[in-house]
Amino acid sequence: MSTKNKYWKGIEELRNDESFVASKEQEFTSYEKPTDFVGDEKAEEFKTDRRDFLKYLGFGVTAATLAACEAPVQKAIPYVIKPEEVEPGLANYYASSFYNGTDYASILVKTREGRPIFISGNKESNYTKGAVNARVNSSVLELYDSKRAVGFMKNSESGFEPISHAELDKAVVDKLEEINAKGGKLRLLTNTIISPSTMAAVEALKAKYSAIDFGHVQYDSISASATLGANEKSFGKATLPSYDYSKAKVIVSIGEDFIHNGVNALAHAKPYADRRNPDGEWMSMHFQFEGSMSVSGSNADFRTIVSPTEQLAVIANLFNEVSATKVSATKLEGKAAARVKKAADELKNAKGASIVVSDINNESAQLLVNGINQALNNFGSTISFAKEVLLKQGKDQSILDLVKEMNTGSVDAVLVAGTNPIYNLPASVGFEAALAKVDFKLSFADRVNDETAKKCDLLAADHHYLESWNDLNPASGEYSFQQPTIKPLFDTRQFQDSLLTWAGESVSYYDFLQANWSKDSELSGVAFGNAFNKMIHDGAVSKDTMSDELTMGDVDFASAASKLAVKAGDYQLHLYMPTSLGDGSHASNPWLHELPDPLTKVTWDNYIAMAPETMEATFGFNTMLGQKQKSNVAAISVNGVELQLPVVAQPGMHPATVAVALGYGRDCGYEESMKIGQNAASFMSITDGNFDNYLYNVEITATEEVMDVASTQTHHTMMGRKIVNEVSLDKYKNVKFDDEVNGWNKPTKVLDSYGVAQDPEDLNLWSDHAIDLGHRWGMSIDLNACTGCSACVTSCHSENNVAVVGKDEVNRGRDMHWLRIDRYYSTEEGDAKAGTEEQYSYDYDKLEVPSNEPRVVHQPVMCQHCNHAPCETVCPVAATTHSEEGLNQMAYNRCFGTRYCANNCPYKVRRFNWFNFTAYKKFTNFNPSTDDLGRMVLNPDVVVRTRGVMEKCSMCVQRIQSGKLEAKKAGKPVQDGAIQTACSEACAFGAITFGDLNDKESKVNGESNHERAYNLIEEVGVQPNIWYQTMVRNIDTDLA
Amino acid sequence: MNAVSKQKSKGIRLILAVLFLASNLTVAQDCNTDGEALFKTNCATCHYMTDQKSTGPGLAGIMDRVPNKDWLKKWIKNNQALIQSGDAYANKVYNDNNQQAMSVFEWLSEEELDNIVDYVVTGPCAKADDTAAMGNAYSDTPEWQTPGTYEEESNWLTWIMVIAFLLVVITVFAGLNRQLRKVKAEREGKVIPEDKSIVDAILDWAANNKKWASIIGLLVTLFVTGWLLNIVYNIGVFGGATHELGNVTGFENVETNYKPTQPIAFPHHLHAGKNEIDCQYCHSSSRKSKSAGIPSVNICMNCHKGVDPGEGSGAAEIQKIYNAAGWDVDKRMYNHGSDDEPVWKDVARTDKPIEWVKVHNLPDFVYFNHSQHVEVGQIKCQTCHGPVEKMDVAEQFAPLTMKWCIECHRETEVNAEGNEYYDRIHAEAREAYKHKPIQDFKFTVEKIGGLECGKCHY
Repeated sequence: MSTKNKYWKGIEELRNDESFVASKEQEFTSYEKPTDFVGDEKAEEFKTDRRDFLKYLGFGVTAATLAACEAPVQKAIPYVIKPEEVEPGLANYYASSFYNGTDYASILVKTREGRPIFISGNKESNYTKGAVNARVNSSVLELYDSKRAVGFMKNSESGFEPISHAELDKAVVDKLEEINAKGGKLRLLTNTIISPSTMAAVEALKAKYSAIDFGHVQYDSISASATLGANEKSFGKATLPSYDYSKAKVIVSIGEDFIHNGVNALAHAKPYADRRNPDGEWMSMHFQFEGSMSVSGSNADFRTIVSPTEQLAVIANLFNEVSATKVSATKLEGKAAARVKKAADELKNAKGASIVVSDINNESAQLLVNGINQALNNFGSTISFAKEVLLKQGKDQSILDLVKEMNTGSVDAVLVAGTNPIYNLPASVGFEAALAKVDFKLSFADRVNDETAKKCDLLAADHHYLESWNDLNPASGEYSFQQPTIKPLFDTRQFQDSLLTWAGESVSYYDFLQANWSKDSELSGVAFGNAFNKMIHDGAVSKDTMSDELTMGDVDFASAASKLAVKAGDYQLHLYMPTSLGDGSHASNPWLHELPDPLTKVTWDNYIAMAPETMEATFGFNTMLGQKQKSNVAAISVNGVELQLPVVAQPGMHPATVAVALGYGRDCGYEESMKIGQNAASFMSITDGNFDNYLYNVEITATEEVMDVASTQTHHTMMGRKIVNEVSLDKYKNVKFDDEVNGWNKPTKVLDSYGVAQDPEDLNLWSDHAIDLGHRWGMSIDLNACTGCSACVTSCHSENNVAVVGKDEVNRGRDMHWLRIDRYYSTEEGDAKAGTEEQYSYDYDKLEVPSNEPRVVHQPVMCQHCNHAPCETVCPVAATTHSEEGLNQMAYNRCFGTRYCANNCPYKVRRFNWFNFTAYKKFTNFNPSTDDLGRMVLNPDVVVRTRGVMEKCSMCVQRIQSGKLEAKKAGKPVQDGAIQTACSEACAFGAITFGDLNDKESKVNGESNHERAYNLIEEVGVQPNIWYQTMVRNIDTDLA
Repeated sequence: MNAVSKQKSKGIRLILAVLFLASNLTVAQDCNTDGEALFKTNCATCHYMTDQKSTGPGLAGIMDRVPNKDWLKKWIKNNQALIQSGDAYANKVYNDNNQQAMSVFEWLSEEELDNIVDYVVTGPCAKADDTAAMGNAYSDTPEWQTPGTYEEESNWLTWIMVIAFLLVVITVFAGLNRQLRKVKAEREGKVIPEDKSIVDAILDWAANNKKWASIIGLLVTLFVTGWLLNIVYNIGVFGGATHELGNVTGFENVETNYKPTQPIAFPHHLHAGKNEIDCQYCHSSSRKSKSAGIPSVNICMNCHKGVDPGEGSGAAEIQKIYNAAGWDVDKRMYNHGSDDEPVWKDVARTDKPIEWVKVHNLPDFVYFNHSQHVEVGQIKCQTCHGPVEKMDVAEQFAPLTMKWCIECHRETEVNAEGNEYYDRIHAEAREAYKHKPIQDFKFTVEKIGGLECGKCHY
């Protein structure tokens, strides 16, 4: 007898809600009114009778015929002087870097005919090792944002007016000289600057106006300020260490989303993923203590639900467990206490090979975390100050000091670059009022209607990073470079060039940067030009300039622990950075707005995430999502700030904890449609000079209002079939996969008409394709490595010109993502006898409410490229056919939109173009390909689909074709790994392997024959070319 | 014509062409052919044989200007040395030409120098007949039509006009005939039957001859349906205002000759034909990229800095290139820089790209890659583009329909020889088809999926 896990995609499925049962039968929701269907309220006003219809038809046919008689004259306009490296039709790749204060990545920019169109990770980088996240690879779209400032601006009575560079320069230089003459104060306010040359440019400006009291204030919108403070107290230096997750056998995270949105998370991706491989030397064990659901938490082996105040207690208790000294600690109850004990035991067994981290922006908590790591001998082994992390160096106190200073009226000028304090600081700080007291305010923002720029006198609009030169130093000894990949689109000027101009330097920032590097000791003696060009070409360079390892001094842990006894209110709040918009700097990016949250799968909004039982029991809120399931709106108030937000059910939340995403509620979007959500930064309060990301006492009151929340969660039902396979590490190691009784990946059998179990392949409707001839492209997706980070989703979006459909259409179930990540929660269903028919009967009523810990699985699903594809059989016009290379291909121009294929697809991966998304008025607000500027981001090798045709994952056939062509030109067989799909290229965790299944040496061939490999819904016998690797968790309980 | 006789006729054409060429060579005996070759390689970029100045002075009447032949040979070999030796005339020439130094040709032997000078004096050789030379060069490409049929224009319009004219004549005569009969009948006092309209007459006839009427009706229906289907099937890729619907309505293979007027009257027959410039000199990306590429203006300028005026249209057309490149003909330098190469910085640009009219317009939903065909498949440009080297104005040769693509993919064998990429696939294909009769198996593009939708549509 064994307990069996049930997986359900949403509350609707779990509860077996009536409307869900009705809608799960069909892929597309049915509609009552035509206005529902067309999505346009005006549709009802139109009245067309039969005669009118015939008239329109006749006119249409005639017009089309006449129009067809003459094709338009097309021009072919070559260059006057063709740049040597540009070849029309061929892509160029340039190494560059992304840094915006929250994310850092070394990247590779793909350009076509001089336009950047795609961003992937730079595998040459020793530091990020090719890792990118959704925000980084979507950032290319922000270059083509039509709401960017087109040049320099001056704020006058009537709003912003354009002025020339010379005029602005004169105004600034005059002002600087005036301040210099009187010895006044100037403050440069930026996020953490990690560029040595930028710092040198700042110094140059400072040196030029030596009489000015010049202060450079750096602060971060989502800071690591408390950690810096704690490290200063423990080690005497306010800096951040680097964490080596490839050495950590036991990881305990108290709230920190270290693999996804935490500090320097991209550098942790690959090392973490490498140790999640069950076939490796050893597999790490991951504990997470949190009240809200983070991506890291969803991947933990042991996720313990604790409220924010309990998190503080977990730290203190853990400290007492592992350290010789004891501190006062609030006693924990039940499961949390047992888990802390277990975590402590595991940590003590892995001394010097473990990591304990926390995201609590509270100095006392971080001091105790340091104490725990010290007791475990982790400093110097897994945690190193020799390789300092130079991101997030901003202290929150510095901005508070600046506000104080500005309020006295003593600051004569403020220059704001790379940050947006009026937006990302809580209103209680009073930055806006303080700024008004400053005589001269200048912003380097990229747009006029940036919250802070609006309050400034001048706007010296900065380039987009893809138009800029820069050098970056994210960690000791690690350098990378930004190089322009396009001529500036607008009359903007790079921030550093502006500084140099005002400093009276006659060199461009590029020359300045080069001169700065020519002083580098390693480059002296060699031909500088070549060495420098090589660094720019490679994009990243590592040096062995290390900092000193630090030793911990005397720390008063007892007094720190005494500060952790915080009194909890009725509800507690976690403010987190969302996967989509980051700290809000991506608010103009429709790809990211439409990216479903990795856990709730909600798009286009921020919301209050709450435990479903609290929603129902306390508030009587609706926990369902869907077109006809509006979400209740609640008012949430902290310290007198009140915001109204919809409430969304998130299983796995602590019942008295809610979470709200930062980064929303901006008013600088593309259009009205992107000014959505509420700015949760206004909730932050201040403890010991640090902005709190956890608030321990919040009030939540229900309102009468309801609103639509667009989610992709329940549109793609798998109807309860076995789709996720999971096993514990212990069982994986000790039980054979096809063991008759306990096998954890037993071959799927189906019963034939006589009740005899058969291989699905033997019960075949179709004759076989010649799959052994030539290539057979396939993919393997490792559920152990996939964390749900969603970088593949935006990468696919960007590569394949997928349309953005907007909140309303997502709500109608018409999202267009070719690749979705299904997120399943598991609960224990009770007893089910394996190997009986009962195993195949699914009764949703038996599913329990996940009162404690639902386990989470992220499963990327794209077209499975079935060898016996059901979609191909039903297409009346043979628009979808099978290739000899194993691809299920889609000829858009043949398709006339019956949607039979979508209906017949067991995986529900086909997407229908309900509208002409690139032109219809409903989508002009946010679909980037509706204006000339936005269209520049389109991949010219992929057709932009029009209304009325079906589309789906093509397995990046354009990349396959070009990879084959390169091989043919070189006269060599295709090398394994030479062709990457957009998703496999984007995956920082190495979860997606693409290759030729017929190549016996290929990695994907090996993985498809692995014991862990299985196909999705194998029993329907469609023989997919996509394989999934069974998830192995490092836990002791029996899973399967 | 079967394959064998086609092969034969090709051979005959080849032999004829060679004979013709040979006879031409024997005719042109007045000039120095060795000298011509040397001149063209080394001197022609800067000097004309006329008195037109190029980079260097024109050479007409050179022997009357220079002191003697030996001096000229010394000058050619190393003009720098001659100038430095203080030779008066050498320094005069140097100063007269803005002190622009001529290249040094130290490697030329005495004999070669003699040949060059001889050639400059006797003048250019008569050219062999272009058409024959072309026929020779490309007679091994069977796919494109012979020059004779290529010249033929589609003359369906003429036919329609002739038919219409005949119909009018017939109607007039029939009317006249009827009138005369009427007059005659009136005179004879006979009863005249009511005039019936033609439609009524046809309907009456059809009612009385139902069998014939149904047969004719069926034929007409079939004809119209077939005609419509043919239009649909042959819808290819045409562009430009001059395109007429008639091009797709014929039953025969689609004849396409979209031939838009270009902003510059660029003669392909002069460049690719007479001057035998390799197609890929200008369309260089056809080897590397999906696009064959229209050459940028600087490619034109590589030659046209020197070649001016043109042989065909004189200075006017070439001036258009100069306008586009921002090149000052008199100063022989770019408007925006003192150097030979343009210097853009801080100088107002006078150059602007040439807006050519695209001749071959594939729709956006078709992916076609030139390098796949040119570099990997080693397909000749003429296979799809026709005898461009004979075209005055570039025109569309192939219909570029899907049918046309597919037919070629069905027949063309993959150029797998010596390409390791194909080894595994070829071996597997041989294995898969080993039970088929050997003559049935050709390793065609079709065999490796060349007919699949997803190879061109994605």
